Amino acid sequence: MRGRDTPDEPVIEAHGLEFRYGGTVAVDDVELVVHPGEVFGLLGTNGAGKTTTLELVQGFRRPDAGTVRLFGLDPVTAGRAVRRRTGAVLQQAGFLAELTVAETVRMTAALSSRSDDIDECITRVGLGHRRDVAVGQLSGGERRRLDIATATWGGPDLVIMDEPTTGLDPESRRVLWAMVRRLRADGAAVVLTTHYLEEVEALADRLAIMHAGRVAIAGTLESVLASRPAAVTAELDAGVHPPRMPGLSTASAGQGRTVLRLESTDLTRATHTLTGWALEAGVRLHRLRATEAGLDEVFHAVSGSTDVAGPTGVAR
Amino acid sequence: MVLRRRTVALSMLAGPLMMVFFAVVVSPEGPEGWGMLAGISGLIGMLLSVYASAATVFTLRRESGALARLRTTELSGAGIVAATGAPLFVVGVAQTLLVLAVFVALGAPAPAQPLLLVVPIVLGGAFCVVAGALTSTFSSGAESVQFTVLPLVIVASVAANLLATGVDPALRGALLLVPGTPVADLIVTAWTGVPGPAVAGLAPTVLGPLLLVAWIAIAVLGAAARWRWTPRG
Repeated sequence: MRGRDTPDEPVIEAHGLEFRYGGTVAVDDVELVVHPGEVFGLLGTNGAGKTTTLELVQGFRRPDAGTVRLFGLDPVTAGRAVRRRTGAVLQQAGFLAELTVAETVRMTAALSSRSDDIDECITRVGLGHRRDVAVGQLSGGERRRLDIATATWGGPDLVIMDEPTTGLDPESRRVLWAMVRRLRADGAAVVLTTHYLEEVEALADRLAIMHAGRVAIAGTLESVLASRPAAVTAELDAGVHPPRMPGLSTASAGQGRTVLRLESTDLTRATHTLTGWALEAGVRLHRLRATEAGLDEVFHAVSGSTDVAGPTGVAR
Repeated sequence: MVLRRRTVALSMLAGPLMMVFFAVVVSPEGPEGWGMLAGISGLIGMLLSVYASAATVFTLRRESGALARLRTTELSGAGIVAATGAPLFVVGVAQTLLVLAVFVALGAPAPAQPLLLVVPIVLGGAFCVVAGALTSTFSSGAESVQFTVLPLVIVASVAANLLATGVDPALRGALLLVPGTPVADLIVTAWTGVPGPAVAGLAPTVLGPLLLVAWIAIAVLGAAARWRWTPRG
């Protein structure tokens, strides 16, 4: 559809979002800004508040506090106008099992003011040979592809995908990844929740990790990774005494060797420090490795921590 | 579309088949006999086909995530519920009219006030759909909905039977307050052309539609208050 007048205007803008289920805080002071042509990855453990956040963003729930704007509109009061430009892949596909693939897409077409070609839409997700098969007879992966086909019907400006690749076979996942990249190339914004970190690494321009209802950390992949120390590791021969330097920890390895681990946010400097010491001391470093922090380390650090609020907890 | 689901299709057929079965077995005589049969079986038929089917369809669609999916479309919430219930309403009204026509073909005299017959059938159909929507909010799946529909089906059927066979005015007033029973009373009146005794100074042809509209409003408000788009989980 691509109906925006100002291309840089955020597609999603949420500030101070809060939502409670009874006495349980599900979403707590969440900030979220997503721009056109951007894939935004939303990570978090089960119960972190991802799905509730997406429901608030889509206007399916009214926040207890805070504001949400989609395309500059309140999604609760301007639901129809917002959904005219939005596609959604839900955790539970919710198709009518008795309808065929083509009938399902036709029903989507009938309920949408966006226009597209039914056969092309089906073929795009590799279901051309299954167009007349009842949805109830499709495999899980095929159903998810149909889900993607209906969510992307007519080229929405925003596609919200809630764990779209959970349980998917590699081919269906490849189709979904291609669709996400195509949507981004077409200028659409995509919000994607997932449990697969590699998916976010491969697709997302920016990401946020939620924990206990809050955005614990957010930013580009690089900035999120930079929040955790990188490490230089090496092994010393038996009998060689490790140096004394800040951030260095040691452990015993086999054959009397000592493992050195030097953590730092500046990997280049840390590598230089350790190798400089070795050269000066005439010591040989075995199995020398310089490794940046991975997203899994950041994720586990965030989801295992108790105090996760901080200056980086703004998903802008 | 709703009829492609076997459970719903069978449920929709149960009402009319039961109505015809009653007519054949009972084979009543005269306008009063046929009117009583038409009233009782008309209500029970609607409860079994429209009400039970509506409760089943709304429950199954909620539990399968279909309602949540429809909510992501441009349809409004009320539009989704109306679009889901409309086919059941249309089929229910059509099949009730058809079965009553079969009664005539089986030897029943034509209804004395055919236009009045439309009122309980249309309002009864609408009541059954919205009551089904409300009942679905108490149901967590195909199995549980078989039990959650029973109270209304049993109570309304018994009340309609008592009402049609003639009771004293005080009890008649109480029975007309049972959800759905004015359908039976109005069908009897339309068929025989002889209205039952007035209740609280209101003729049955006025009181019946008023009560049905009131029950429709109560069911709508109840369903709106308890409505869920996602499975009850």
